[in-house]
Amino acid sequence: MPTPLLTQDNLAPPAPDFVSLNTRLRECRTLQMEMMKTGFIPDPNLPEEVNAKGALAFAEQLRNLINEQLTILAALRGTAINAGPAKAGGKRAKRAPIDLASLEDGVY
Amino acid sequence: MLELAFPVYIDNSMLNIWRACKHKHLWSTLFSLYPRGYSIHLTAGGALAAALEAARKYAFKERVEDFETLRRIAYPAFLEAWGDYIEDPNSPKSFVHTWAAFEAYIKRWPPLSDVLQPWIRPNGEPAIEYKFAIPLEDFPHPETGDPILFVGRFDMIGQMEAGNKLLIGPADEKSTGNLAYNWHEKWGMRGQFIGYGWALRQQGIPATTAFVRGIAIQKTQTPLDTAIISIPEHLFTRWEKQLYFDLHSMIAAYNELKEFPELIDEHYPYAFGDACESYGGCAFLDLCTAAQPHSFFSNYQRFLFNPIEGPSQP
Repeated sequence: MPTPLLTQDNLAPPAPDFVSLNTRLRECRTLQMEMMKTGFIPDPNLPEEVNAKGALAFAEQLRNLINEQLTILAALRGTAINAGPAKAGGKRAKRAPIDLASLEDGVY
Repeated sequence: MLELAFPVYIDNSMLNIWRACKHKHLWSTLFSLYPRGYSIHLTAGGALAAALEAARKYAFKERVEDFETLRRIAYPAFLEAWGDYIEDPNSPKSFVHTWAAFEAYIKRWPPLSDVLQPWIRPNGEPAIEYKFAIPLEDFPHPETGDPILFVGRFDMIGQMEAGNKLLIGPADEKSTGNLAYNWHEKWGMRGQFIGYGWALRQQGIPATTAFVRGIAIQKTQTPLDTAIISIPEHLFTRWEKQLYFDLHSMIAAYNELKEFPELIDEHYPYAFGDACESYGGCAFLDLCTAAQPHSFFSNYQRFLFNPIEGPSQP
């Protein structure tokens, strides 16, 4: 059977990059901080059982937010570990090779 | 013109500052000046401490120490303590790497099976996140006349079995950038831990040892270590004597300043030494190097850290 061609449809999506993961983490952090500050605010115009369901949904959203952040944190940490430790003092720039044929007498 | 005031409490940081540089004591303790901006070190250390506190308290209350549960319990406390500070994500002490340090700590030392356990208070509760305030009856406040308080806060009162002995004393986590090969050796004369141990003994708790957990927050790993410092009786006595001597000098300098305000530099001399450049440079270099320090007060805000109640930074 011939190997199927790779197309946009069957290519695996690229892994999220460092920048997008960090951006999403910050969004989640901000949202969670807001939710933790305000808490669930029941609506006095709604029946008690509706507010109870709302409180449960709020708690579920908070749990999902925490889970997402913990997943992103593990991914970002993995990215850092795979990148490896920075070399002390930074990389030394390679010298360009000298073209001896181009050198004129007495000129370096 | 800024007013200065003698604080109603003294903590280890204030003692360190007094001993390092009298002029820094003037700016920091009496004028309550604090540099503007956030410190990544205080932010990361505070968030790590909050996460460990939440994890420990939950573990001992529910008798649960599985990693996945503890990280979910601790994360909200970590996030709240970190606050709105947006750091350079490439920094070693970033949000990501500091959280990774918490996870590494809990994996290495799960709370219930850690060889270092919390001392149990008489009411049955583990002594986690311990605060104290010891009134020093012989040292009345120069304005109010009430006893000055010696105050402090540390991560927990620890206990560790050592053969047939039970070692008890203050336990504290110290976050750092790296753990040098001689990291254990720097704690023997550290007044902070002798002071904490002294405070416990004032309350009848037989502290003889300090436990320091080192956590190096790094980008690709989290080195961890434990230092166990034995504190002999004569060191407690020496520390106490030094505390009283320093307090006496602080109060005397303050009273003399009130009487002769024009002699401010004589009462609070400059160190002109290592204190000016240690830890990346003193926060008050701008004031000490200026011809008219008052012109630079706007670079600072008024904040006096209270270890009992307050946040570690404004």
